[in-house]
Amino acid sequence: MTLLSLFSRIFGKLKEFWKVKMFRFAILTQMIYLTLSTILFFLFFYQFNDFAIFYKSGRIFVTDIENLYNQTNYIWDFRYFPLSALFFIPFSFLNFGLAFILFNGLNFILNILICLIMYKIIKIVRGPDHERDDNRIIMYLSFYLMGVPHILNYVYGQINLFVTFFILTSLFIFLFYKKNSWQFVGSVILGISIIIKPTSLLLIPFLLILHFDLEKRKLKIDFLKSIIRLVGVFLPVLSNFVLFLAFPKLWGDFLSTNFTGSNPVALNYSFSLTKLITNFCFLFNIPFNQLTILVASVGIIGGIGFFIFVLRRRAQSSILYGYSIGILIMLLTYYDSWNHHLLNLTPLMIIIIFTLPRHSKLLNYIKPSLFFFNFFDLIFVGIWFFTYPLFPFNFVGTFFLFLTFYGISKYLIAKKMGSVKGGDS
Amino acid sequence: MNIRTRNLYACIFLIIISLIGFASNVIALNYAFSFRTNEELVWKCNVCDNNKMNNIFGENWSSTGLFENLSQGKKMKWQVNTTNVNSTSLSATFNIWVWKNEDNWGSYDYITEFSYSQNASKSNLPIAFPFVPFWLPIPVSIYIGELKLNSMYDVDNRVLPTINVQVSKGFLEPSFPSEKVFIIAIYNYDGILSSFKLYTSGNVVVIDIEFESLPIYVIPSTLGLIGAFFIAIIIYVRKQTKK
Repeated sequence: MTLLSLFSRIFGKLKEFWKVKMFRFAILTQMIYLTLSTILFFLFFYQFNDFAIFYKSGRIFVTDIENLYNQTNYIWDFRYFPLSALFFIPFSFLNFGLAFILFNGLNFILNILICLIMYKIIKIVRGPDHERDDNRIIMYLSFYLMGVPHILNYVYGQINLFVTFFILTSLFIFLFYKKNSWQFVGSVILGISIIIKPTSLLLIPFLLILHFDLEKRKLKIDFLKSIIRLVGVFLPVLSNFVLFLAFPKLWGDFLSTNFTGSNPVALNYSFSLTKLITNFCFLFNIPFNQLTILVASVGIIGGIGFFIFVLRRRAQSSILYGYSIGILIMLLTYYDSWNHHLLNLTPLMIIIIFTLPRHSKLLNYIKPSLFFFNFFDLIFVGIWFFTYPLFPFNFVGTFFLFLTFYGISKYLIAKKMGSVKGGDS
Repeated sequence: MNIRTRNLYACIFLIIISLIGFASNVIALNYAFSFRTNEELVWKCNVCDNNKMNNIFGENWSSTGLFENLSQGKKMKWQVNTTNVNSTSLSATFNIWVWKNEDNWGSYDYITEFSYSQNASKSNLPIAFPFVPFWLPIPVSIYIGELKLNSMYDVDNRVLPTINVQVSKGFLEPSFPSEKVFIIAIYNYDGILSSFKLYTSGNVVVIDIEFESLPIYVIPSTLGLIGAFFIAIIIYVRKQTKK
């Protein structure tokens, strides 16, 4: 397939989507978000946004790489892998305002591409009892585009959409291409998403093709494919260590910024379980070590998630559920889980809705959570500012994360499909 | 649209963007006060481990300054006396009643003036106990972000305006502090210190001071949030059970 024919297919598909009123409305919403974020950026957030950090990191990577984690260079901490700065080098040579606008233009294009990948995946994994036309798929794609988390993603000039794009691309490859070479390509792409932002780091264990058959009491593992996937995903991630070896100061600074810095103890509205616990300890003067809480949370929630994945009774599209559990574990356990991080999760939830039976009872967990994340979570961030002196807990998002986790877990390990289906199907 | 017209539009667009970018770089910000003359600010001390403080900072830590006579349960009051803002600086004088147990404040103990430069990068924070100020100019997030601080300070103005301080062993005098201490100072959006916590290793709180007056909306918002959440859950569960 030539690039030209690919573009013509993309435009052809977008023309089809455009015929649906809701999709046109969703694009209009995106345009409003883009315009609003540009105005807010120039009026209020010119130097107070994440893009200012990425922009500087690109310049420092070229001119003074040893000081990439010297936090006096930034308004807020630069915490990502050093190679992530590579993505921002082209932008760092432009005027800052222009770079922000171009970056957000790229974010908008990524949103369209994300929709197209979601569409491709849903068309193939869609359950047999779902509608055969595309209207419902386009409706959910429109919901995604209308999602309120896009506002902060645009305003801050965040990079979540790059992560989502690479996650979905690797998911697409794993679902549809079974050859070992493709397994390698898919995992390299996931590794690139980890370089950009380590949100997808906890997806790595779910690349293992590992399954304990509860009926036969037999552990099955596809060693070769698992190894290929692990090599593929670690290759880009470990390439950061070339830089760490070349510049040992980078490694020390990277560790202290991410694991021992003072930032994690500050009070904030992150909806992660770890943050709710540290906020509780802060409020009631309970001595705590934030790293211990992080490790314990990852150990417990991550352990449960991984065991459920290994013990799953449903083989179909298991990588989709593994990815979803991985993102859920990250959002529940890392210190800072913000509203715009939900853009990594909502596309996976939309795909899951189409893989579940059309009238499944499990939709009672997934759908309300999706709508909460997509439209209401930001309201609770606002409410947090009203309640934090007495009650510094943005707990509603955490509740819906657990609800989604429970719904997916139940689907994976329920013995009979009857228990996950509604009465009418 | 022909190619020439399209190129013209593209050029105009790029010029506008560049101008906006340039204009944003030159906007200057004037800082201000949030309080008025005669306004009273009261802080209370929730935790003060005097023995531990004596061990860390020596016996004289509470003999002078803003922590004079500090102990658990006591309150400190500031009354705004005068304020002065001009293009180069902000200053305010306060009548200060240092830490007392009773509500009958009597006459004030000190009149103290505090001043800040309008150019935040020229202002400094006290490199002495208590290491952080009790008020700052507004918008406080921007002001603390602009401060050029010693490496012991770390500003986190992303969510709440917060100053983290890490004071190394022997920083003040060869024997004091006797161990590393950490301070987390959180400011409200009026620039008033709303929470001051001094930790020793293991994140054990030795001093906890908080601004006494909560904004009027805090209690109803908290009760409303928790109430609404539980009502929503009950309604949802009932609906599902009926189905």
